[in-house]
Amino acid sequence: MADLNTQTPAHGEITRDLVVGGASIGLAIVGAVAHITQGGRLHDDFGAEPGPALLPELLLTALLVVGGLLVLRGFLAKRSERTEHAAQPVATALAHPDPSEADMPARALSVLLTTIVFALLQTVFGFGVTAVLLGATLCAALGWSEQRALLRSAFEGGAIAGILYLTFRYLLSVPLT
Amino acid sequence: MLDVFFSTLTDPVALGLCLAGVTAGLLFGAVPGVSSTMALAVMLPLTYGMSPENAMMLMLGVFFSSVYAGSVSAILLNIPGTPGAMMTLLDGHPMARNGQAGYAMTYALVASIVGGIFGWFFLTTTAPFIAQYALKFGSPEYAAVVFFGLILVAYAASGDILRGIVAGIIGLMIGAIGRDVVTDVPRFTFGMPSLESGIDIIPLAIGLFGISEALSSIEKTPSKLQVATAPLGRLMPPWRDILRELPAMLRASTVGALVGAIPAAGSAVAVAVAYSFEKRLSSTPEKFGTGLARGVVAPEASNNACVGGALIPMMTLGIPGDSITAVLIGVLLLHGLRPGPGLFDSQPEFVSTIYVALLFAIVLTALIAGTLGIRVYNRVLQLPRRMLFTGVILLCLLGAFAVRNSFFDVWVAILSGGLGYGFTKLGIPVLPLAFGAVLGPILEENLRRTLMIYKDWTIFFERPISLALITIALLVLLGPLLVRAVQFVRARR
Repeated sequence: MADLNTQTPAHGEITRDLVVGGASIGLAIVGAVAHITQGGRLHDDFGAEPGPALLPELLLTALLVVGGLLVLRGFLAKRSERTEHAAQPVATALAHPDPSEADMPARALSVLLTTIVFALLQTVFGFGVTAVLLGATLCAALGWSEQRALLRSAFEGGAIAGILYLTFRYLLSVPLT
Repeated sequence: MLDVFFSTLTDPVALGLCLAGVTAGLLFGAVPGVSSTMALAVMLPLTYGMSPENAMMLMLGVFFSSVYAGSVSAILLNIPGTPGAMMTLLDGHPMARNGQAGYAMTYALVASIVGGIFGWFFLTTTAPFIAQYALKFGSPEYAAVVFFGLILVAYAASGDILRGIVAGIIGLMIGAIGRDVVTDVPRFTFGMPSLESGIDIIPLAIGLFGISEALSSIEKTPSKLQVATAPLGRLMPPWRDILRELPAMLRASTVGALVGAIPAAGSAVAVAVAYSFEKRLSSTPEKFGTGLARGVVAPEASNNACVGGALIPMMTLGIPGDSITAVLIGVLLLHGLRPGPGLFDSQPEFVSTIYVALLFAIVLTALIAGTLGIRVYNRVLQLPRRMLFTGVILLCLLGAFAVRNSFFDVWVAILSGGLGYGFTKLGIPVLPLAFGAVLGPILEENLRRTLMIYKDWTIFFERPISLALITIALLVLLGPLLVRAVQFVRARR
């Protein structure tokens, strides 16, 4: 995904079409396998009622078709891009974004991974302790990029988590354990 | 409606909730990276223990005020706080650079209130008629309305309709997960018992609009978001200057209310149309973009009139007008209410509550933003991002858990947050996914009922309303392809 940000806009769009199209076809196939192998009465005849299989089958077919169209569009655009490059072989380096202005998906992904670890840890430590740990970790990580003292940021994050936990647990009576 | 108005006026809890919602919306909306939808998703868990009426007082307070507050960072930082403020910065920030930030914010506030009141009138006068008409809809019309809404959102949510359709289909598939309501047969459950009760729309919306947007903001380099705010300068422009802008405010409000009422069009479209309309009408169009008050009032009146407009399809047809009303539908479903024409028939008092809640939200926004807001915004914008996004993510997780006191919903929020973020990176709009998940069960119910009663797909083309809706949807879907084909043939010649 990071590569998409450093490609030329047109090339990035082609790659996106190919990735999204391929993923759609893959999802349609996985969905079709899950749908066909789903037990119970899913594929029974329900008489006048079209049955619960109708919508999934329509959706999987549509996903396969649209995925195919995206892949086709990606390939066609790639071919025409190659032809244009052959005709005019000047590099389009200027279209590349300035690295100092680029987004930092690694930071977002690390926050997402931290949250997933939190979801796994809460089964061991419970919601309260893990929420405080998550708050401290997130705030410290985000504060680090703002050049803040690590411990101070961690304390702020832990405090935010603690206040929110207490609000939900005791003010809103959510049975957090 | 007067009964509800006076009972709300004397109900301190309802008033307090509306005030809290307005305050939260004014704060959230002003912060870059926090959209109105994220503000609603974050505030949503607080409504769990409330009555549906009180929940709407809080949520509509957040909705209206956050739409206005999006103009604050547009004017002071040159960053739109919400998508609806993307045109405000074109003239708002130049005004701020010229030492007229206070003037720009007052113009934005007055225009927002005028737009809000116009949208409210439009909602209260139009919605009952549409609902009355929609009561005559049969299942083919309903299925066609949902199909129309989904195609429109796939088209409007991004420049690329194919990727929008992919998102819409995935949303419909998510809506189909779980036991079928008619036959009790499980679908797409992969043998997991926790999936049999389906994916709840609330944790999905929290993930898609809360966690995903937070992740997208977190990845931005600090230099992009930490910009020095402009000094406010004097706050109040002369009244005669404000009154001179009133016709422009009314024109933009009309555009906003009409565009808002189109499913999926949203405030971003409304402000773009209103701004270009005013520019076209102006005798000095070259001055737009240099710090013209009209360039602030047009988009601000338009995006706040959009609020009333967007509530029309939600209340009368059960179809979200935009991402914000998609979350509001989640709130209604959470409280056991199903939006649609039946709501006007079975719960007229609740409909009045929505009208009254929006009116109070407008009035309180004017009062709070007018007296305190503008002066304290410079401080709000200094709120450290580490604390803001830590709080947002924690609120999302706690809120997702509180839906059904189930950790499965926390997983849904985290995974849909990751999915929404991945979609953004791949250029896939997130909104059609949310629409699909909300509308999937309605589409399926009406599609199957139609086929059971009429036993033939051609019925969709025999009934005038469904035929018209399907034709428009197909034109939207195939129009760009036809245009390209014509261009290709012409180029070959």
